[in-house]
Amino acid sequence: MEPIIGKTLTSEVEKRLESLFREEAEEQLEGAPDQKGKDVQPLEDLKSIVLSLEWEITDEVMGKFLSQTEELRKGCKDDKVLSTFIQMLSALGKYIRRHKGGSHPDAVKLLSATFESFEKVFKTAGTPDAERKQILDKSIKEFLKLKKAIMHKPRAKGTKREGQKDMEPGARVVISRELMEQFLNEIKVFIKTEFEEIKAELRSWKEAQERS
Amino acid sequence: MAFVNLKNKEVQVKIVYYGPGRGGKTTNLEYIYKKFNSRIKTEMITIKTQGDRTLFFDFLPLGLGKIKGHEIKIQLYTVPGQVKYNATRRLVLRGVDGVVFVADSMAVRRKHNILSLKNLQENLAAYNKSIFKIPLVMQYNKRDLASQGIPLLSVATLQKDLNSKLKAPALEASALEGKNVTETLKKIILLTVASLERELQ
Repeated sequence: MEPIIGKTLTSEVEKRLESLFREEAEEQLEGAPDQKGKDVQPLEDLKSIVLSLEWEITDEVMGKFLSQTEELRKGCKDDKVLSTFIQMLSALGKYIRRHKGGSHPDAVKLLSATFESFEKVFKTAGTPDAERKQILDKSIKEFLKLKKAIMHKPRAKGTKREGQKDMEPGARVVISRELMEQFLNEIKVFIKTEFEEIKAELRSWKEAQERS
Repeated sequence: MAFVNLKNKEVQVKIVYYGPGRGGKTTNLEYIYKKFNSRIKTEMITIKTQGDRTLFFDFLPLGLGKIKGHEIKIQLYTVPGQVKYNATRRLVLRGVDGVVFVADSMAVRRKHNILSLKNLQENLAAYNKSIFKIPLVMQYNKRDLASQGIPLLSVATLQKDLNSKLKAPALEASALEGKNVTETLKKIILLTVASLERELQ
């Protein structure tokens, strides 16, 4: 039997590695953005902020994030798909700004993933509408999933809102500006409830301290 | 040394991504897994805490196929970077063949890099391995943050702090953007396999 270890092993492994990772450069070229005159600077600025969230979440960073999404919103107001993406980014940004380190562990990850999809749709002009909507639908599903996870705690305490229905698995998500605003309002209500609970807990703690 | 199973005709090479907490070790593996998922055809196993930190380790096996009738399997691991998990780091280093040290380029992380490298040296010594002899690649991660005005350590400073004696191959990288992630991996695999060749000849 030929020995496995020999002079040719390294060169053979090198060939295999080249093969395994070969298309990276080509894929990057194929995926090169077709910007067609869109001003990409606000997008690039937003991208920098999103990347910085990996290591720091402060009021300042989140403030920049939200003002940058507003900037993009103006330029995308005639594009429903992009506008919906921006609404989701804005909702996530506001939620993270309020909760910071106490945000749901998937919130920052979802914000990054949503931005990634938004960037893809933004940069590739000429993509068929069906394909753009498909990307959007996927992001919305993830958004709703997180929303459900965030809302889970109040529901467990018996505060489920009237008329709130669970989605059927695999159901197609149709989203509108009104619905998105509703999601935002629900998140706001949730945050308000959380704060009230925290305040009540603090009050009881203070009273207990005073008594002792 | 790599595990060579003559009966099953299999060679297993273990590579560990080491470095300070929040430095980007897991992000390196996640990028590889996400980018080449269709070709890797294996699952990445990761155990995280609520705060998205590596609690135990990440594991990503890579198959390079058969060479001279033997399956070549590369096992990629990360260690938890947080100081308190040293026992886990040491355990993950058992049987390691090659190390990628993922240094954090942020200026505020300078001390953490140095302490982590020292910790690597100590933990390798527990297995009678020398940091000067083991195949090692330095990756200076988060270079992309410079564009946001975040103070970074210069490459010269990182080299002086971490690599002046080791003189390992060093790459500037952004694991988040994928810059030099595959190059780092290819470099460490080739160094490790070459080292394996030398040991067994």
